Amino acid sequence: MWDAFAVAFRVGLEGAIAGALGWAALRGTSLRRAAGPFAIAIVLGLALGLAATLALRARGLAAADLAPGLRRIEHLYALGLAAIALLVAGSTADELGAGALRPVAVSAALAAGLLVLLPEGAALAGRLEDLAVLRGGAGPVATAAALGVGAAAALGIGAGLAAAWTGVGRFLGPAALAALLLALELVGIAAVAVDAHTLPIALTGVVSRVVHDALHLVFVVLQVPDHAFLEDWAYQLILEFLEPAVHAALAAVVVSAPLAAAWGAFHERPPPAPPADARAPARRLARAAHLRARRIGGLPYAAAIALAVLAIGAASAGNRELYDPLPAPVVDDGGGRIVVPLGDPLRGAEARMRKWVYAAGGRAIVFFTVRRPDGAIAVALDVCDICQPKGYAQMGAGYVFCKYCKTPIPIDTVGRPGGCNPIPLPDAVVEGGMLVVPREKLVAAWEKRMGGAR
Amino acid sequence: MTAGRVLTAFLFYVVAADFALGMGFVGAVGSPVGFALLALAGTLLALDAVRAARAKGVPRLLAAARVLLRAGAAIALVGIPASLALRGSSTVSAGEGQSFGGNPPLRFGEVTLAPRGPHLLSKTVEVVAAAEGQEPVRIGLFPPTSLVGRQWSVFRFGYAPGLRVVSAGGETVTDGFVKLGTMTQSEETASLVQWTPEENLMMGAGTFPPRLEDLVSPPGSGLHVFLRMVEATLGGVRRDLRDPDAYRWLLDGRPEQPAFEVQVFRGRERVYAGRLRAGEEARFDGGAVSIAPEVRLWVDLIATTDPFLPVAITGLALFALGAVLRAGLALAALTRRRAAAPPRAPPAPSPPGA
Repeated sequence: MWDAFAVAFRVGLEGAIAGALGWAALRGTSLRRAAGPFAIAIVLGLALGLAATLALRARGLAAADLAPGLRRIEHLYALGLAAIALLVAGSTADELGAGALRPVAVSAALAAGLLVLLPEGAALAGRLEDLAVLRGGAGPVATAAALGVGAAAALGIGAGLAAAWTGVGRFLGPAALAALLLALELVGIAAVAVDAHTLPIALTGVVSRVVHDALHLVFVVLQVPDHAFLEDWAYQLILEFLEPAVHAALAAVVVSAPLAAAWGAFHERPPPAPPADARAPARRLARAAHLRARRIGGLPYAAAIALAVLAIGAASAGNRELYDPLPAPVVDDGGGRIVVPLGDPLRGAEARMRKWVYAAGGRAIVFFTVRRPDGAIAVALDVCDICQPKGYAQMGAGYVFCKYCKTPIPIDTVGRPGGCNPIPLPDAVVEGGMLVVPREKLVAAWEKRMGGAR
Repeated sequence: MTAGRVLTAFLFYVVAADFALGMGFVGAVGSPVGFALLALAGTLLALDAVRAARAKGVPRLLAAARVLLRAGAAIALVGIPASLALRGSSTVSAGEGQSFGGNPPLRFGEVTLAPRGPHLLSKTVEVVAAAEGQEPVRIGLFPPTSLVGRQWSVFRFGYAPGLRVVSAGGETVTDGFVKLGTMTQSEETASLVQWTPEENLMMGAGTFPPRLEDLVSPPGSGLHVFLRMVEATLGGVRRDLRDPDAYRWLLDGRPEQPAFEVQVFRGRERVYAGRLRAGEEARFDGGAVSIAPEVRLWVDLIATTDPFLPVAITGLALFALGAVLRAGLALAALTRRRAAAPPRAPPAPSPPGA
């Protein structure tokens, strides 16, 4: 039962940290009435996630079917936190809670609380179900999980009370709270526990796609010939822009930018105006207090930026391994369809690249499948329009890698035609656990690439 | 509302569209919301540029830098998406000496190959083209050349040996130039010969090699003629083109005195197999096949119309000019401040015996 306790504790721990931060930030302000509901919303989000998964699985949906939606929720939630950090930059909770913005601020706090653990809760349900099957009993697993969440909640309550007692919450503005929640999502204590930590890679993937697409656009718009015609130095320079490490660095900058902007706005806040009759020493004391609050108040932003950069860097560093599977032979069904089993009922579809080879009139046509971050299966020929047909390998979770020109290509762009991308097979469809490729289309795509019937 | 805020909103929109819909950068830029946000940001920047131009009390050069930066960014923000949205392109495959009707008619001349290219190119393929009543121009790989209102560039080239097949009675079965690598094959015709293995189809590798072989099936004749260029003088050196490294030499120059491996099939029966030099003829049971002395070259060209590309480039150029000017002014100000700062006092001498 230790497994269930540990995974539930780690999921709960993220909620506990978020709850303690929210409690500390809101408790001493005019939004104090939202502090409790914020913490309750976190618990409610976890419960909702658990309940939704159990309900959907009872209706026959598999965990893999839910995963893309959950990832989408988590990614948009993180984006929302970055937007909130920018929108409320330079404002205090008191200012937000005093005027007409109060209902908006309270609603945003509750929504943020609800989403802290909703996706992870949904993933946790599936994990606990698996553990119940493996360990032979739902009752003990549920009890252990409840104990794990309870232990994390107790820690969170303790941390929240300690924060309230020491008064550190007054240095934690709403923008800093959003920044820390975003950093928490990027670190992904809960998501890692349930094997659903995709945010840093997804963010890096967005940057990769933007860079990749922008380079393609420059080539297309300016009619620059492809790398086959370029000087080696020019191509090596272009390759630098396609380096995953560069993309990770850019992603770190992109994530840090709104947090740094919020920090800047906080730093630029004017000191509170002293009373008109305040004497010089009182004015100096007020100014010193303001400067001290500015210094200490900057720490949460610095911590959020550091955590975000570390999370993206760590995810990218562990995402460079090359994986090049041997093609498995496939045949057609005699009716013009090549039917390929993608996985088995127990393991589900393989997320990593798989290659297939089909023999057509003495020609070996190799194609591959790879799972995109959004959960969809991309299917393409193991060759691009430009390079020698040396094929692709998978690089980490986010890229396929042209073995000829050493170009990493974001997996999200697999399935789009052009340039260094593998030639897509748009007519291939996934039917249940089977990939169905029309034989004629596969052969035609191969022949078109090879310039005839070779 | 400022241009910066609108651009920030655009960036959030791009990421949100990607996360939620998998739209991608290009899709987001081309979507109505993305385009509207960029246009709004461009308009706000243009207004900023006007304000910067009319600002009083600002040194002239600084004001000029601000105007260039804002105006350049405004023009580029509108020009780039407009260029993407309104761009049109088509491809033309042209052989040496080929003419095309149209308004005005086009005629393509000699194709030139060279192992070195201008700018960032590692090699050159150029074709002479002329519209009726206009001076001929050279269309290369990069940059595109303007001709009859379009921007032209070469994106592929190939070989076209002249092939003539006559029947036993002397009637011409086929007579023309074969663009190697462009013939469509059925599974049946493809299985007649052993094609060069795929590993030797040297695409890429820092060159852009054309196909060296193809199978021609003159309609109604029942004949199939396979041609493979196996040897030629390139740039003054005799080369064996069956060598796996042959792709490295193909851009050394036009193939001279080429030799071909030729196979002729009647149905599935091979009636001739041998090697022919350009200008030679071979007889087979039921006819003769000959290769013309000259191998012509052909090119595939891409022709685009993009009315907003000059706008986008102008915007980017203005922005770059403004950035350089602004950086120069900042550097000059820094140098002036350093020069004006009082020199540091030398450290106090240590007291004797310290």
